[in-house]
Amino acid sequence: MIRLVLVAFLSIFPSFSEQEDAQHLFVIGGLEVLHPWTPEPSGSDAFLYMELLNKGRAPVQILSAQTPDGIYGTMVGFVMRSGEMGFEPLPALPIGAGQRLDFEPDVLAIRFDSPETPLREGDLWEVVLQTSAGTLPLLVAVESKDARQHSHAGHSH
Amino acid sequence: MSVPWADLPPTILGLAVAILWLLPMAAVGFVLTRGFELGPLRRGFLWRFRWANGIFVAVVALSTALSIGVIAQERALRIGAADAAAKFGIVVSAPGSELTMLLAAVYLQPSNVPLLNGDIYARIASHPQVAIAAPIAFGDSHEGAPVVGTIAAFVSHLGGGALEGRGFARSGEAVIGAAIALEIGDTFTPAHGHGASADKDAHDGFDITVVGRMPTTGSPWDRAILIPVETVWEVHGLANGHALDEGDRIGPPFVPELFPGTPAVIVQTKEFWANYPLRAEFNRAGETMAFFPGTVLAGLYRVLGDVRQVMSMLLGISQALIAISVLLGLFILSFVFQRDLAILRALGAPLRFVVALVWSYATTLLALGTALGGLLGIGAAWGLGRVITAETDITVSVTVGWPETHLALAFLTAASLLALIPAWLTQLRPLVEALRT
Repeated sequence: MIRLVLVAFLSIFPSFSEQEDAQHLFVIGGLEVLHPWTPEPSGSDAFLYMELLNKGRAPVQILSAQTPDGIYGTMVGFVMRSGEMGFEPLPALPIGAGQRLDFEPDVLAIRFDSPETPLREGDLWEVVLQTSAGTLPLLVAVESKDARQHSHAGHSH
Repeated sequence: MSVPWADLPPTILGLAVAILWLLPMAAVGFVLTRGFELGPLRRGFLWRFRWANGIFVAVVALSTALSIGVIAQERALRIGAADAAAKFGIVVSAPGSELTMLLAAVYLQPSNVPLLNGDIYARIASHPQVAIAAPIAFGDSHEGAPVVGTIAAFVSHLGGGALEGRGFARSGEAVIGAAIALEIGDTFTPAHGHGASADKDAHDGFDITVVGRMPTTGSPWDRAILIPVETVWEVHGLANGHALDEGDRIGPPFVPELFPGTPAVIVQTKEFWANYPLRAEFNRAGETMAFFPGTVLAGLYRVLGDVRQVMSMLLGISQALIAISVLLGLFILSFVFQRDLAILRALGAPLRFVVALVWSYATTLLALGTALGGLLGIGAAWGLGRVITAETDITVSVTVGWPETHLALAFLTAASLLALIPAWLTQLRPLVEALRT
């Protein structure tokens, strides 16, 4: 009986894992986007962070991002000036074959000015990433206001 | 959605907030003193109790100075440290602590760190988006100043292309920081190591000639002596990164097999955007780590920011206690001139006149104390800034900004509103009883 229960549990376990992957890992061609997340906005801007890995054989350009309600996100690089962290807009960024590019706080982000959707901790925010390899719909985890990383950061998927 | 005032220039916004802070006090003053000529009587009170008044003003001034000094100083140090790191694009080093590497490579704090080899340096330097890949070599000193090995292009970058004299062109030449007590044409022999245990004789026979001086950078590099990285390697008996048939050429490219190693490579990119992919590319697990100094500082400031909030809260509490003490003192003092106030009332002065007189007297003391405190705060912060600059070589330029101005004005307004209490209480005593005081 115990064996039967164990077999039943193990048979459904992969589906949990696949479901979890579906919320954390997004793939287009050779480009993998892992753990897209945003801290719950405390002002008007929302910043999208994620881990990108180009497993393909050709470089991929990250162009921008867009929400379903038509708000465009622009890539920004964080720069410290006069002791305060600010940001500068960036053009499309290339990720070479086999290279990774991490969008992370105080380094690099996609900035959305006044997204229409109210973002609350625990929500999943729909964003479409635009790349030279095509568009990639993402489910972005909304973390706490003071989060510095995705709550699953460090897990492999 | 942005707030409507988000796009206002900081000066206008700061001024507007300052006016808003002063408005409640101004409104109370207008309502209370409208139509009265309080000047002569107030001056009389101020002169008659000048010693007690002087102590009140001094207490308020010291409290305000402490708050302004601490806040202005903290901000100046934060800006100074960030500005000192501004010319260090990407720091690439062996994996380890980013903070330790930041302190070593940017703020020249001696530290034992692993070295990057010639192959890694070549890979960084040959990247098409890299404009400068400056190896850094430290460990020697002269009269307490660190002697740092690097390349001519980085010296030019640090100095903004405005060197006095010229940059080094061959091994055995040096460019000194703006604060080094040597002159162009002087020669010196570097000591091995730093501080009291530095071995002054270890590099005997290696004379280095000063050929240029950098302009002031506001960073610890003002007190550094920069020499070709080849010279550092040569004085330590190592290969100098070049094959014999290259003659006395210095600077990149280096032969990877003859490259003795460097603790860090400072990378400047050709275009701004390239910083981000290059940082990712030079971050290789188990081989190299790459970081922006600004990002490490931001993390550090975030931690210190919590401490700053606690300090600001403590300063606020101390100011509140000071305000309560001063008002209590004023309350006691008002009993001293209770008879004078009673005579005014007996002569037909309206109650509003008496309350206005005591309130304006108290507010004058508070305003004088706040203004004096502002000046003392600037002086204290400036003095502290000089000490920190001397200790760290980071230029700390103290200016009083809007945050501390707003804090001082908020204190003044809150204390002046509290001053209504003793002002009101002075006229509650029956007139006859007050006249007999």
